Amino acid sequence: MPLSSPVCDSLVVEAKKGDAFLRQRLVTEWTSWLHKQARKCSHNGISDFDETYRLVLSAFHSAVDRYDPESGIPFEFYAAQIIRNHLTDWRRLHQTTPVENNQTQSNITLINAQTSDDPRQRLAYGDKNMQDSIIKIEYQLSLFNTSLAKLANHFPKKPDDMQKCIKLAKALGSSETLFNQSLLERKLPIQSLSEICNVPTVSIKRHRYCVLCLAILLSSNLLLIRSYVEIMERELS
Amino acid sequence: MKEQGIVLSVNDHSAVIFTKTCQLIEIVAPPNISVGQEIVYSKDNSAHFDKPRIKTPLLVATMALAALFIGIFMSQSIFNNRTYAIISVDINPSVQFLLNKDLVITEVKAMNSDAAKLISEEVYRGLTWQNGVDQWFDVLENHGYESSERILVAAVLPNDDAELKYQLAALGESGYESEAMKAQVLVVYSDDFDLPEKAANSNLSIGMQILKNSSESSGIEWDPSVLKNADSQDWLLITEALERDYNVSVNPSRSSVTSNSNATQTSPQTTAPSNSNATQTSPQATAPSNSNATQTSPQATEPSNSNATQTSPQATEPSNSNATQTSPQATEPSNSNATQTTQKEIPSNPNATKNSNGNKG
Repeated sequence: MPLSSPVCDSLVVEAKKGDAFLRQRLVTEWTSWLHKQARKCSHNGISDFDETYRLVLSAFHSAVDRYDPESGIPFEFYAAQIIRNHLTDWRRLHQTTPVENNQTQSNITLINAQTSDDPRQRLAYGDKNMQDSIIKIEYQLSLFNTSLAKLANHFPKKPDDMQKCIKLAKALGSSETLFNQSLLERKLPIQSLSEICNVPTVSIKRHRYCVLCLAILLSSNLLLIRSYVEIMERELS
Repeated sequence: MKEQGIVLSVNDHSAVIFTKTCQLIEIVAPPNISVGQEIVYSKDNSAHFDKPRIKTPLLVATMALAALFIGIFMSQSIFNNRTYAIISVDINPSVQFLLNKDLVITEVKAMNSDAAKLISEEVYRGLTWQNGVDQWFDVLENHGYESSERILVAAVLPNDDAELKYQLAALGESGYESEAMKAQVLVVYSDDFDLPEKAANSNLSIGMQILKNSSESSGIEWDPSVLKNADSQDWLLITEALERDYNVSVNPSRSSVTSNSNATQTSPQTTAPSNSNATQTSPQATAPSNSNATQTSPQATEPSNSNATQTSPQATEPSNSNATQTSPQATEPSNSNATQTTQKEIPSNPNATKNSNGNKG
């Protein structure tokens, strides 16, 4: 059975309901995939493959339990992200990744951060709902063969360009039809956006990934981002 | 300058932040951040993710160090595994041992089908050459070759390896004797490293190649079964030819003779007459004729019986007067009760420890 097929996703849903046999079958069918995930991750901080596999399996069960087929995210993508995040948290909790730059640390202040020395504060993905929101963003970006990490430091710096990008992203995000069409076709409706916003297609093409990312972020439930964009837009205008 | 942003993604080393100025940036991940969290950070450190700057020199240094270690490891293993010497043992099943510089067997070659069957029974690789030869003798003895009277051990080795020469000479002197088997061990060695190639071309072991060369030079038609079937007269001719052309050590009735004029004989010469009444007429310790040769080690004589008359254990002077003779040569006992003047005795067990220089046990 193909791992990302709808049949497989429905099997996950059935297993999630508590069918132990189906869950075991799921693990059996996904064993080689799970080994692959463990191999991918074991080189980085966790030396013991068996220990990595145990963590991967644990994260996989967590993914089964949390998976929502309504999100539109294939289970394979969702599980891979959950596993990656779980291992990141495991390493942070066990501090297997050395802190590389104390200078940087000292210059970062957490707003509303608690000062207790609770190791759980090291969990980057402790908030499961937030984690699901980010996974959805990453999935939508993956449809365009990109990711948050790839787009980092590639947003336009000029205020004019940024102003255009915000305008285009808001237009794309506010039109459910256009937004869904772009996800479905996996390409930005440049012509339509050009007509709606009266921006040359060349400009849209040049900053298409920024527009796309902003539109995805604005359509997510990360309300702080919306407020940032609103503030920025006002400042620029 | 301080900036504000929301954490969107965290991995092992970095975090992706969406800033208040609508920039997506990557920063070094501090320990206590989580996704969705709002943080304030210094723009200087966050505008450019500086992990590569920090890691690149470290990475380069690590890779250079790793390359160095791998290079050392590989070169050592290559040198250790490089064939340093070759020893063949011929009865009729013939084997050839390749040795590394530690005189440890690195490879065994069966030179015929009988040998191929027999060597598969035991592991030789990793043994010292003496233990390998002993094990091979045991195998031969246990597989119907106990009646063999002549064993040829041939070696090609670097000319300056006195220790291996000494060990080979000792094997020749002691021969091989067990409850079931008593054989004369003829040890022949050479520093001619073209010999293995010639032997391989003829599909012979180095010992058989040497034997072939000597047979032909003594006018005897080459017969691969000469070792087993040669009558005493032919065998005498062959051994004389061997002594003329190679370094030879043999027991029991023959003394060791070094006659290869090109060899630098640095090992002790040995005489060990086993016959109590034998008159040893020419246990010669022949110094090398190589003009620049330096004879560094003592000669050894071992009269096994006090009644033996050892008349002429001569130390022959090097043919060139420039040669430096640094050690005492074999002495000439004036009578049968003569004091043993040798500085070194050949161990009765060829595996026994040598030597005066304390090189190896």
